[in-house]
Amino acid sequence: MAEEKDQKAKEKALQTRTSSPEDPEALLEKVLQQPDVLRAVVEGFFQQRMNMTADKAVPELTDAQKELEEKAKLFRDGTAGLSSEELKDSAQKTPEITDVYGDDPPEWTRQRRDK
Amino acid sequence: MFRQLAKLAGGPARVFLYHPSELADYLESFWALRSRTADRPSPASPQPFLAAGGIRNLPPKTDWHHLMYAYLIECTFIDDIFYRVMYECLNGERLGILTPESQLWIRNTEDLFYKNTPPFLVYSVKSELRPDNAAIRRNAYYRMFGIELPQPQGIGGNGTGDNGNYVKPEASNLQFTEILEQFLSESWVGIENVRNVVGANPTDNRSVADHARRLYQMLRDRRQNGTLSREEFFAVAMMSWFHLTVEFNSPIIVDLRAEGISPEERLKRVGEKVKFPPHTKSDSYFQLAEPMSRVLNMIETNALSTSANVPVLYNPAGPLRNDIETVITHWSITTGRMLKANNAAGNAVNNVAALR
Repeated sequence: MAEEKDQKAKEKALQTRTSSPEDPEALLEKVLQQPDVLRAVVEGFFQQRMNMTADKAVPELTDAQKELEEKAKLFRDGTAGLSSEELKDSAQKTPEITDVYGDDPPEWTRQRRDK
Repeated sequence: MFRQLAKLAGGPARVFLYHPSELADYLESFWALRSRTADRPSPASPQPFLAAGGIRNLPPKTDWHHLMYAYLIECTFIDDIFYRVMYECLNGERLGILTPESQLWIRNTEDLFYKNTPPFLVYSVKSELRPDNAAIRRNAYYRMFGIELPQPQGIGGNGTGDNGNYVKPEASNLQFTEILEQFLSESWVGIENVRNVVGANPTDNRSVADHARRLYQMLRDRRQNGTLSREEFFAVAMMSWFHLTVEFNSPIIVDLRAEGISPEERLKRVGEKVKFPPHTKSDSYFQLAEPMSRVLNMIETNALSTSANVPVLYNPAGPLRNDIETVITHWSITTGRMLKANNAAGNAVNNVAALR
């Protein structure tokens, strides 16, 4: 009778114990008795790892590296043409040539003549 | 015309004292102010650069693409194809009657790139000593990158073709491709492992920096005291002109009924009209041109020669990461060499490719 009571108390204690750095064996015991705990621990580990890679694994850039990226952006912007959307729009607008039949001289010639 | 100028200038001897650009401006003005314009129509009368005050709204400092941009655009055979378009349009009507907008495109293209340009312009690189624009570009590509265009024969400004007989000087960067590919392969290892925090990390920033330093040195060697700058300027200007032409349904593309949704589609259709197909990997060359220019420009700043700066190539949110990934992908497609292969299987594929 006393042995049964001891056994139940032991089981209850096992269920209520939580793992901690001071009591790592509690986790081991739980894992041995309840395989689902192992699954949860492994999933938790990977979740933690994934979060870590998403947020922290890429090292933050130094000031010199940030400056370099700024230089790269400046060159990119300085040499870029129109975006594909802007090109698409411009293709729909027909350019106007006023001097096709010689009846409308360019603006700068008029300005020169008016002086 | 010049006899009239003698009257305007206050004496005949003064006519010969003008700067050539002023005389060119005078002729342009003379043309633009012509009377009886209805009797002497013109599809287009471009404004001279001096009298018109130039194209406004330029930024205070300008930049243009690296010579590699011109090389990669030219690899599509765009110059060979449009040379044939020009030839057909200027010598007959097989391609149809062009609208005034397309005639202006033809005129500008011919004036800018297929004529002897006035000697005082910065992009005027053609002369009796080097009479073929295509050969001048090939010479520049060879000196800077040690490589040739995929097409064996270029079409020169005189229409005869350079037959590949351009000058190949000893001072050429023949190791460029090899070092570049090592740089790209090592960079790929860094990109693959940028998030690797648990396993062994084979990233070797020092090696990437060393390859970048060697590239920097060989490129800057060819540019000492401004050597090749004007040739680069001319080549980039010419290829960007043709690149822009096929980047959208421009007037000449519409007139040739070569509309498409991408540059390579339009180029392919123009090529069909003149019976000269573009390179089968045109798409990759178009994709490569700008990112490769940006990567080489960054290498030429010498900043990547320091291993501490190399991680900017891997930064997923950075501007260089996307460029270098695009370069690695499309360089592999155009050359057939797998730059992402850092294992035995990949090396075996490369070895087989090298044997072919």
